[in-house]
Amino acid sequence: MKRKQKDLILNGITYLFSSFGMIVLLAIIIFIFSKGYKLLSFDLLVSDYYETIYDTRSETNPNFKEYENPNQNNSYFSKNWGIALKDSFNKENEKVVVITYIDEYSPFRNMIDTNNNNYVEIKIDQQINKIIAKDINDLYLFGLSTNGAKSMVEVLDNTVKIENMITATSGGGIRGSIITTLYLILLTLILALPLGIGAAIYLHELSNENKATNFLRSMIDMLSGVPSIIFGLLGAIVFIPFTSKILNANGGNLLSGALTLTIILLPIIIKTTEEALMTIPNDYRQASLALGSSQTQTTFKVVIPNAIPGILTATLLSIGRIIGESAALIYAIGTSIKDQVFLSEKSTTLAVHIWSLMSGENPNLELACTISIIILIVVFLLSMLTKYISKKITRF
Amino acid sequence: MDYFVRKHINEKQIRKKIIMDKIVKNIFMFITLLCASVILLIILFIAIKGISPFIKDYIINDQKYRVNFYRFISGDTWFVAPNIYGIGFIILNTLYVVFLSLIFAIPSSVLTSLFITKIAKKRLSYILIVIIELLASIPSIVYGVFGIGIITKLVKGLSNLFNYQSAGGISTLTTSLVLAIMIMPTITMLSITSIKAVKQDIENGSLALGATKTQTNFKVVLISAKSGIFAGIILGVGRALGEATAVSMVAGNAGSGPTFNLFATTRTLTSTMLMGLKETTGLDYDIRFSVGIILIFVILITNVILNFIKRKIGRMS
Repeated sequence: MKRKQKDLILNGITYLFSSFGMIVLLAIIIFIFSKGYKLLSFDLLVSDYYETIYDTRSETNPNFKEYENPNQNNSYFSKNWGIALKDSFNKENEKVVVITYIDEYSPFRNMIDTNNNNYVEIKIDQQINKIIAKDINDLYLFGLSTNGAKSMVEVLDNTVKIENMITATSGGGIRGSIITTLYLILLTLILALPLGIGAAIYLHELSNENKATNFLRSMIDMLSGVPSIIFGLLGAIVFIPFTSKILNANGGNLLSGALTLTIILLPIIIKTTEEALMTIPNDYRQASLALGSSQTQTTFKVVIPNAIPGILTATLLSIGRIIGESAALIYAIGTSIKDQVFLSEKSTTLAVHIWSLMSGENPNLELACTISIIILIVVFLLSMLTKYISKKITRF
Repeated sequence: MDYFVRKHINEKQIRKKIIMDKIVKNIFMFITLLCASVILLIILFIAIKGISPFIKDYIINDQKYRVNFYRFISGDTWFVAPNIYGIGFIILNTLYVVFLSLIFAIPSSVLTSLFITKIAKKRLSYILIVIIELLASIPSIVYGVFGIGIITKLVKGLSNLFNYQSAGGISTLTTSLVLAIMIMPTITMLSITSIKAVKQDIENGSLALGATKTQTNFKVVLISAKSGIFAGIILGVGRALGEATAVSMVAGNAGSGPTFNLFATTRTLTSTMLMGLKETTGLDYDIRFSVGIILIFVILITNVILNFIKRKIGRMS
């Protein structure tokens, strides 16, 4: 009886601790999604991180007619100009006035840029920072975003001409970081796959099993134990000066990041490819050689085609690693977020974008969570796909 | 037929093939050498850069500064002001945080692997393995965000219970909890492999002797698999020591130490390297490479010690 109770307690503890992993995963998913889903939209993916500021003026409001009120909730409609405004908060938690509606014939669709006199269309979701306008009696009226949407609408309804208006796009988008991530994945795979597959083929197919080969293999194994921040240091002192000379860059750039990632990925690609090579039956090679083909022909026409599922697994693992890598890239590229991505300039991947958001003076947890959602979805999909493919590999 | 065969045994062609083979083999050997030499490259370049603060004079505000190696390695304060870089306490803090994270991670990972391999039904164990794999695939930056969003809040609540004013929950405990979550999948995966490798005969023998299933699991299976479990722990320690982003987000970068208070802010080697990285020249930048060398050494030495213990444990039975 005593033994049974003891067993019960031990089993209970086992059940309890085993649920820990599930609880943590659920907690992470629930937290990230509940915090980040609000900002998640297609606009986020395609818009710029930095605000674009427009400095505009209008012609004298010619038709001066009353526009139809769309009757939106929480927003104030200016029947004079055909726009609706509402109070909101921006990334830095400052009070801003956001345009929620613009009538089809509103003068806001044909504003004049004060710098170059071109026509500019003001769009929904832009913020109005400041308005200087004239009423019928040529008196100046001012509308400031700090006074709220209601007072700004009152100002607008009393005016016939906007002398100067500062509007800004909301910013906070991640288009630049997504492009950077894709660039880095492409560049790194172009560099890392040939090297990694080549080394794996040499170690498994071409070399003789001797001490030298084993030494090479253990050197490569040692790489997989090095923390990624150390690779970042290597990128900072070797690859940044090297790529700066090639690309005429000033400091970190995408190529230096790709080279650093290449080295991080080498042990993963070599190991996965070697495992795939091991599953290819020796009969295939012998049959190919017996038919008179050379070692090179056997390697390229028999071994590599049969190892393709393994190489695909290596590629997927690599992509997952590139998307998640942050410490190395902070050193090898830098942390400045960019909207325009160039090979020879600094930029951030999605992961480093989160780092920049969180290590700034005003940590933006919500946007960080939104980016985390994207990263998590991609990484989970890749992980599932890898599992599916590696199940297929074991067909031999 | 005869003509056909003779046409194919063409000496010139065979020689061409042999030369081609040699060329290809050499190209592939060169690639392999390149990949293998990277580790030497890393050590060499980081060492050169990391030694420079101790042998070179840095001019800051018209004054010459040089870091004293002994003070560097034994120091109990880290200031960004010149010449008081000390990382002795950071090494201790790092080891302490990793040790704590092991205390949190080992029970859950070992018991989870036992549950998956011996107790759970097939479908449940498959689901659990998927969960562990998903946890392993989550990037460290997401763990950092999770740490800031949730774990700091939990730790803050806990510290309030003890009437301790923590820095918004950013503390030693938070750091070690985040690390524990991150290394748990690693240890679990290796434990699963080693528990699966335990021979069925041993288990059957134990059951035949009258031990219950649970007793067998705990006293036979786990003991037989301890060598493999320890290998997982070694891997986990390596990962915990080198983990940078998530740790930097929740460690708090204390200026001095060592602190063994669970609710006080801490500072690890990696967070020291990562935080406040702005300029890419000067003493403040170069000293990070010295910290990098120390990090490599700490990882190497812990690995050697743990492997030694593993061999000792493996012999005991």
